[in-house]
Amino acid sequence: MSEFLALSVVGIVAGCIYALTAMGLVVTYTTSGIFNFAHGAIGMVAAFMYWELSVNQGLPTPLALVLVLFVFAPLMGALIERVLMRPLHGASVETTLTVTIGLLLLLIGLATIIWDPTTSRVLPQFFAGNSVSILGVVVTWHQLTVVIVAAAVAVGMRLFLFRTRPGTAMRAVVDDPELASMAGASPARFGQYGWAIGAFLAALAGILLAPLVTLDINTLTLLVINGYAAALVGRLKNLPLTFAGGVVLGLVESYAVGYLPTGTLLSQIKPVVPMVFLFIVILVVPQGRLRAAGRAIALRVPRVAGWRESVIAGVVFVAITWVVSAHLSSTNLATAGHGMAFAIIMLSLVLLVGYGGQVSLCQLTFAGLGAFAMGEVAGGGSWLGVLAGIGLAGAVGALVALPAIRLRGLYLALSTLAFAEAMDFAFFQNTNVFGTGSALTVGRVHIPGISLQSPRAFLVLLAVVFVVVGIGVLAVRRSAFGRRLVAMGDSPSGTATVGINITRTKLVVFTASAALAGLGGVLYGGQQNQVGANDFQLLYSLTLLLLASVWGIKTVTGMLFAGLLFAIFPVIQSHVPALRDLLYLAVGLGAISIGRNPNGVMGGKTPLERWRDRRAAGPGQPDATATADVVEEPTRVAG
Amino acid sequence: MRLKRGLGLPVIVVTVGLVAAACGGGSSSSSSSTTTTSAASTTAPPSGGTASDIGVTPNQVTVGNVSILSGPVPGLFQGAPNGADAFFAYQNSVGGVNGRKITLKSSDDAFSCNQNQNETQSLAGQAFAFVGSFSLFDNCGAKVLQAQPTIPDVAFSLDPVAQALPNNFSPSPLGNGYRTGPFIYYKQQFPKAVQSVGTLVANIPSSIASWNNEKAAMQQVGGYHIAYERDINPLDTDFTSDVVRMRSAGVQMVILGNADYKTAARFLNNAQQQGYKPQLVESGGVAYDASFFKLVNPGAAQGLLNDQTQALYLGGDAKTTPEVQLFDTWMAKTHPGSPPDLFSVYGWTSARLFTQALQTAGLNPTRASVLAALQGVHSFNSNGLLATGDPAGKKSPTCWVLIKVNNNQYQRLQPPSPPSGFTCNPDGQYTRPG
Repeated sequence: MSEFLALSVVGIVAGCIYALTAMGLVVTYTTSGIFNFAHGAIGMVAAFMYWELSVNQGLPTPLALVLVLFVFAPLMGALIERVLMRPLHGASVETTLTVTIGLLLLLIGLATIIWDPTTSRVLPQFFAGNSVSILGVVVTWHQLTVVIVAAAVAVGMRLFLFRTRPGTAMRAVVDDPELASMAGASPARFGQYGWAIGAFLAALAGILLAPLVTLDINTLTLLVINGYAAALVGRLKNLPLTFAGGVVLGLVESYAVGYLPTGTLLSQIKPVVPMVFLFIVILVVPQGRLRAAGRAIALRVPRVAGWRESVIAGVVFVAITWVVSAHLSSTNLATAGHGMAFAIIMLSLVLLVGYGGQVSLCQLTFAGLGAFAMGEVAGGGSWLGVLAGIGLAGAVGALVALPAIRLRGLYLALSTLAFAEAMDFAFFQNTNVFGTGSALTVGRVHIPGISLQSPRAFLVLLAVVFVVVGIGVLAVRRSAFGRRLVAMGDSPSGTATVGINITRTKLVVFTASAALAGLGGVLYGGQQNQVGANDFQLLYSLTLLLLASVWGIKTVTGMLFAGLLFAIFPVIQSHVPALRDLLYLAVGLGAISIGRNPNGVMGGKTPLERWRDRRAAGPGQPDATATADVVEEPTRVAG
Repeated sequence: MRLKRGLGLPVIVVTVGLVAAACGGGSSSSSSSTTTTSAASTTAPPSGGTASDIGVTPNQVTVGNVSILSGPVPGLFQGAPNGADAFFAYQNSVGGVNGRKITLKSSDDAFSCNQNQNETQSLAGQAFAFVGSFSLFDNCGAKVLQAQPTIPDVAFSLDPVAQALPNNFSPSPLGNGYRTGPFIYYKQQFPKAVQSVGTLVANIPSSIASWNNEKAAMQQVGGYHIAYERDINPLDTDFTSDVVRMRSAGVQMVILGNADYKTAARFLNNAQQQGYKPQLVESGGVAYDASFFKLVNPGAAQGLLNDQTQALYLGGDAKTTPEVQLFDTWMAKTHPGSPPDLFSVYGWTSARLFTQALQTAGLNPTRASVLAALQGVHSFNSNGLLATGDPAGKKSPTCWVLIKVNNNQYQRLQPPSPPSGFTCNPDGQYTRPG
């Protein structure tokens, strides 16, 4: 019994940490309608700033605290709102997610440049040396402070948001800015207040957590992921429930350590507890009304190429690849091959995210499953392996989609994130999968009469596959199913209203997308002849999605450029050391630009189209659509 | 071996600290190392050497290094090229080898398998050999080295396939097993503690493999009982639950060698906070790091034992082992902002092993002659910076040194006299069958 009580105390303290990070997320969401993936990164930057002032510059602790919590953090929040978030008003969930993920990378990049990550830094605990014993567990005053602050935030922010005029106004401008402004509330101003408060809470969490978990850029940034489940327990709006969710998660983790038998498979469960918890919460807790998903703004849909055009472009592309590849060095061939394999994986995002409007953060996980099957089946280079790779990825995709089928938008994105993280810990890092050498040999498919062993031959094969799949994706878009997909992406409720089976459509596209990613994984493995445990991590899936969005996630051509860029990044890092730390910044900035150009680089108008528009508009007439892909159409979509 | 470090993509992060607790050996005899510090022996004056092979000119030898220098954890293994570079700077300062200066071309694989393969391929056409590379993706570059077996690769490889290549020579081979010496010692000194062992193991393949070998080594020694073990991930930042559990399970020996030094520091801080004092905490070398004492609370690491196969290169053995003095001096001279770490030790010792072979290869070295020279090196300890291993035979060192933490300082505990060298036992090794 004493052990149970001790584990309970430990769990509650740990749970309050999760709760504190989660409540900042909830407050930001409540006051802005945006789920801020960069919340942890904002807290991380604030914690480093606090270290800079209090430790490195030697300012008195209270002064440093005031400067960071009440000046730096709110200003940062207000600036983020003004520059990045305000243009997102009414944007789709995938756009807001992409922009906040981009902000996350941007802040990591900035922090990496300012504070050398190879240097260890320590933030001292508040009230260091003081502690109390509770039920046999020694709890420091600093930990108690975390508990008290978490509880105070839960109660205080709840009262502020629901019992005060400014709090009510903040929620009102998110619910209905037009109505709120008619009542005298300025949406811009209150939005800015919301982000300032959110950044303040992120900073508070960062400063309190850093002494407990070490001042580390990645740890502080990613720790908030464990808080997502707590935030969803509170349905992204209820702070006391969020607090309770955090505590429950902490207790579950603590009991898992305490009572699962050690030295067995069960002892490996703890790393995936937060993700499993998140997955269960998403499925069990009724979805709250997601404000960000409640609006749709019609985009100027990128033109879809016709059959003839697609085939001609494809043949030309393969021919160019054939010719150019003859002049590439073996290393450049390998890089191009990688880019092409990534581009094929990214085509799976066109179907799912671009057309279907369903955000997936686990495409590389499916690719990893494809590569795994290819390596394991029939010696690693057979057509059976290709089929197995596609089949396994598709089947797992369907399994993931089945429970998540009723989810949409943010909830679906988070469930795929949980799946990717859980698979990383439980599958890819498992020595039974890739062995102790962490690598699995993956062969190249045998085609009778054609040798694909040379880098050039395999690159051409990849180009052919890319073209075939790309033409297929465009064909899907032009088909009745494609129209259903786009309709579902634009307005699920509206689509259901006209009799389209949303569940089946979603299941089919999720499965097809996963299978396609699996095919990409098969080819990716073949390209480098092996895959390893580190090839399919969540962060890479996020970067993949970001690049796809930047280049135009509704376009096949965009995926080609995005894939190639993804493969070229390491080359740039390798050969231009001065740019190493700038890459995160570049990706972050690119993703942030999505807010202003949701269709991405290739989804926008070409110079020729703009010229035609100008001519059509006549001399001296402004071209209303020349600079914006967004068509003003504030149609509300239920749910 | 054990590798690991701080974060990255979540999982990688833990990956660095673990390289530390590699090899080690038995108990009895104490072998003081051979410590004649020298540039790879005599350095002949320039005398008509020719461009005898790729990367060789009459006055220069160019070698390559492919390591992770950027990516999710920037500078992850920067120590590896730094260490090799420091040694070559020293060697060049005394005239190079046979009149040729040695130049290191350092490449970054940017945490990418493809890029590791590309950089290895690219350098294979320019560099005479690879020296001191260190990457989690060395399995990818190994494809190139496998296809071109004439290229000497002197490096501490993590990948079993790379280790097994005939052209790979590690200054401190991992072997497939684990040293038993420390476990024999612990059993003698802490007979009760070894009956109840607890551990935290980073949830990544190399750590898990290392832990499995360690368990088998304990089993071979006998008398050990594993009472608590748990896989941890990089986002595990509080280990109080483990402390509670270990205390209830009566754990008296805690092994932290399969996690990184940050995890070790956090665990020790949690244990201190809860007043949990097992008889023995062993970190297998991961806690031997210049940053460790920044992270651990005063007193929390008191009595911690590190058994490792490197001398006390953070200055502890500088007075008694000239090679350590040389290493520290040249690291400070060439890379003043980067404190020495385990990876710079591997870089330095790889460079010394290569230089030794280059010297042996004569005035006009070829890849073949250097490979032949390396194949003759069955005993190497980098003048006492490492425990003696067998690079040509790919046998790991069976000697080890035991370091105790006292008042937040590292102190040599075994062998105590003379105050240098390693404790050796020729049979002190568990080798995994097959």
